[in-house]
Amino acid sequence: MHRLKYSKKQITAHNILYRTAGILLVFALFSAWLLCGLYAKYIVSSSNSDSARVAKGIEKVEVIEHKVRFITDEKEAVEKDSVYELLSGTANEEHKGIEYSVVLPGVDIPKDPFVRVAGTSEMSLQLCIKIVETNLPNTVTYDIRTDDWTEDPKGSKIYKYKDVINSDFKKDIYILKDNQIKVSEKYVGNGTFSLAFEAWLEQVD
Amino acid sequence: MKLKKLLKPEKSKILFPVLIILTVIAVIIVSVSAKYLRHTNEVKNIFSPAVSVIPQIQETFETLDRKVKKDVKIGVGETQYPVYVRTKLVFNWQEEGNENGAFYFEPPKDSDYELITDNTKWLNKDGYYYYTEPVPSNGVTGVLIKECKLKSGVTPPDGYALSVAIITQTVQAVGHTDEKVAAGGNDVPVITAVEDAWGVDLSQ
Repeated sequence: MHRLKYSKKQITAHNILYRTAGILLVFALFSAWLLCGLYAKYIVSSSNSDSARVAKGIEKVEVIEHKVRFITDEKEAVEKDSVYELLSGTANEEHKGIEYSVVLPGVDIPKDPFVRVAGTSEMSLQLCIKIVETNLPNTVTYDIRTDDWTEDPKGSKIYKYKDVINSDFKKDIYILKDNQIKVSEKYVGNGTFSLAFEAWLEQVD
Repeated sequence: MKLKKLLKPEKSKILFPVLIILTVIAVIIVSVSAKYLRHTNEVKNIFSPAVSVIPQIQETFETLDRKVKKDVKIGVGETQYPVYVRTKLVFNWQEEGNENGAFYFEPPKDSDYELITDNTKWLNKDGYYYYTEPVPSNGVTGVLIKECKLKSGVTPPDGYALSVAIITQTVQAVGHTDEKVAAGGNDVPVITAVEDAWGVDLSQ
């Protein structure tokens, strides 16, 4: 029969160590879970009480675009040289993608995706957008508004807004130059393609 | 037995530090990612090419023997977009009673038949008849041929009858070539699709 080589005291000490390590691990993970996705910067609000609260970030950021109308009158289509027309006004704001079923060579497509940012930030935030192209032919192109957006040197169609947001901010920031996608006369129409837009705000300090 | 192994001094010397290291790593990873981050949903747009549709001839015949064509129009089908239309009329003597019959070696002269066209919206130029207005999807042109028949006193070759083939083409009524010129601070297209295709700018 094997006898334990350790005293009861030693065994107790080991158990305490393991339990302490376990509790430490759980505490660390729980704290991290609480912090994730929340505001991770503290501001001291009062020197007397030395209280602190979590800093606020922008509440609203979304990608929107206006709806388009399909032009059925042939004379109007020729006059506007297009089969689609952008509609203005808040009633025509679309929060999901639009399906364009008639893409013709030499007929540009009106499109105006923009990022709506509204709120007050107590930290420095960088607004970014990403454009995801799927099966985009080289005869269909678009330009980004370089007055407002700079391409991330890392590439991958990520663009950063020119200004860091760190105060009251309320603005609709448009993405495409001239609010259109250009279709070359050489477009031959091999299958469908898509363009997806997404945006995010990230802390910079 | 397992508990005894864990309680051995050698094992505990390794296990405890490993646990501490893992905890520290977890804290570091989480603290790096615990910055402010707010993301929107993805807005995805889908684009599909327009379809190409073969135009159809619409006509009536005054007599059962189909020897007199009347009210010939062109239907463009479900194109989804407006188009311009042009046609070319080709006259032949064809084997009578056979749609796929052979043609006589010599075509009829202009004086052999009577062709009455409606020129109010059709432009006769360079051997083609151009419809001067855009036609919408599922639309029909105005009448091109009011009447077409053999002139009285004209006899076709034996076993042949007058045949009129109406060859029709359509082209998108919107769009332009890539070439642009600067005008008033904007780039303006120069040549429309119809002008590029047919050399005639029907949009003007």
